[in-house]
Amino acid sequence: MRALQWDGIDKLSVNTVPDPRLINSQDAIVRVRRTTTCGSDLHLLGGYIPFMRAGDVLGHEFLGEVVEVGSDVRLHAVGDRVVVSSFIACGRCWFCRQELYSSCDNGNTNPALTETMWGAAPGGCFGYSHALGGNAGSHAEYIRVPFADVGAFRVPDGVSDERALFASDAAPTGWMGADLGGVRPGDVVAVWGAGGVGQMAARASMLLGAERVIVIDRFADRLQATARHVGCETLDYSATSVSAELEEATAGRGVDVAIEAVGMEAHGRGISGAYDQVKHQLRLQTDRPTALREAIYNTRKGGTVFVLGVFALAVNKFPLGAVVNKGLTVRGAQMHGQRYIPMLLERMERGELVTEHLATHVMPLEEGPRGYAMFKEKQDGCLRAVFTP
Amino acid sequence: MTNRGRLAVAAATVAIGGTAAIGAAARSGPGAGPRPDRWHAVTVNLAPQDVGSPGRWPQPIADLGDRVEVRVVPAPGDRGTELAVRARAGLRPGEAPDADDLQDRIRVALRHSRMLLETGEVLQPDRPSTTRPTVTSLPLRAALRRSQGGGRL
Repeated sequence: MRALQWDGIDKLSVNTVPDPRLINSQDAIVRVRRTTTCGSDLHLLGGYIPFMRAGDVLGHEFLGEVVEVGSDVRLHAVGDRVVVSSFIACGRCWFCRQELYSSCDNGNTNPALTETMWGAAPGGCFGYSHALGGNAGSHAEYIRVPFADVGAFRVPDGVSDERALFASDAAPTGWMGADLGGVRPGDVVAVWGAGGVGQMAARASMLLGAERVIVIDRFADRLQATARHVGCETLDYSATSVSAELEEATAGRGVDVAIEAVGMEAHGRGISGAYDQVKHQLRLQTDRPTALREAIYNTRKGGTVFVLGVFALAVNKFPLGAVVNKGLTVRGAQMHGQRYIPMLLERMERGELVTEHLATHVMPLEEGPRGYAMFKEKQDGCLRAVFTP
Repeated sequence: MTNRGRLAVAAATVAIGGTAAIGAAARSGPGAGPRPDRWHAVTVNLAPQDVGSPGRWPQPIADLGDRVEVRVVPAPGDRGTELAVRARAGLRPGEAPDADDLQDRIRVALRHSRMLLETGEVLQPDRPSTTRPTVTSLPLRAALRRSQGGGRL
């Protein structure tokens, strides 16, 4: 089959690789119909997460059709149209029973790497480096889905491929930020990052009853798409002071919930931005927490900061003083997709959650390297490049 | 590969080593290393009677034979059962030439036992692999050789 492979730093190519096959009895093989780039892929592409090997197949957000099932798959049959959670979870360990699916004890076949880094191993993820299991990704014609009864969900007939695709990762990630961030009716919520995940977090906050939702970015096309399709307020941080705007918007309180949807390659301005860039490029810090610092600074006393962006290991100049003295709750997670996907598909069917606009560039898999180049450089208003293997 | 690419890969290689060092420092603190007689343990989301007892341990642990001791106790709260294994006296680090290998085998046996007990099978990685060996991936490949036998467990 054809697949998009990581060949090294900023190098991708589409090649012929062996077809996947059933290995465990709870596996399914899915023919991929739609698979999308995600901002977190750029950390892999740029070598900021140093656990990739040449030849690894990228992609973790996808939708397809079941073409083969293992002997212990009970909920799916050949022909099912399914969307699959990007994180692989067993559904039976203590963490899965608490609905903390991305923390699954049994979904990662390389647990020692992340145990050493973080003290415990999260579950596995498709196409997201050997630290998260080394699973082949979805930018391919076919993919093996372990624990298929737990991680694959039948798509209702009334939901298009284009809409359901984002139930695989962007929508549940965004929803989790609002849900576990504790967004309640009447809240003022600020979301850093107007990419797919940030937009989904904003929409989730609105559906959970937030009074005001403000999305912060610097790309005009992303802010326009957010205003138009999500229907919330936006702030261009290159044109105004985020701190002054949020101070005014909340009459001095600060936002109730801040959601960081930027991650380890945050863009920064001025001296602090240059400082972060230099330390990151020299690997003196593994992540740039520019947006996270701003989120913490602008959250009200007793408020919550939820970190959705991917961070690898350690950051410098983390404002712990603000966290302690303002009594903040700082929380983060990889996404617990299995917890939210059924509900999100229902909302998609009812039209409460629309996502098609995220797929700004749809193209054949063979054009994957071009799609990633456009996505990385945000050319032509590229919000997401979607491939159709 | 471009110079920037080589630099990034070199930096990433350093990062892997640094990662291990930070992880090791974080878990051990400023004091000494782990006790040679420490237990390696996992928590299984089942009742103690469903985890095993002498003579009917999960197969990966049974395969270690009489080289190890096994302990099963209820976990606090609703967290299931603590399943612990350690090398017998005389086979522990500093006491036997292959002690490190036995420790790795214990970790693998515990991880596989938990998978078997909770899910009914041991999750296998994708194969055949699509990866290619490169010089720059040598440190990662070395780390992956102990991807189940190493770690904090």
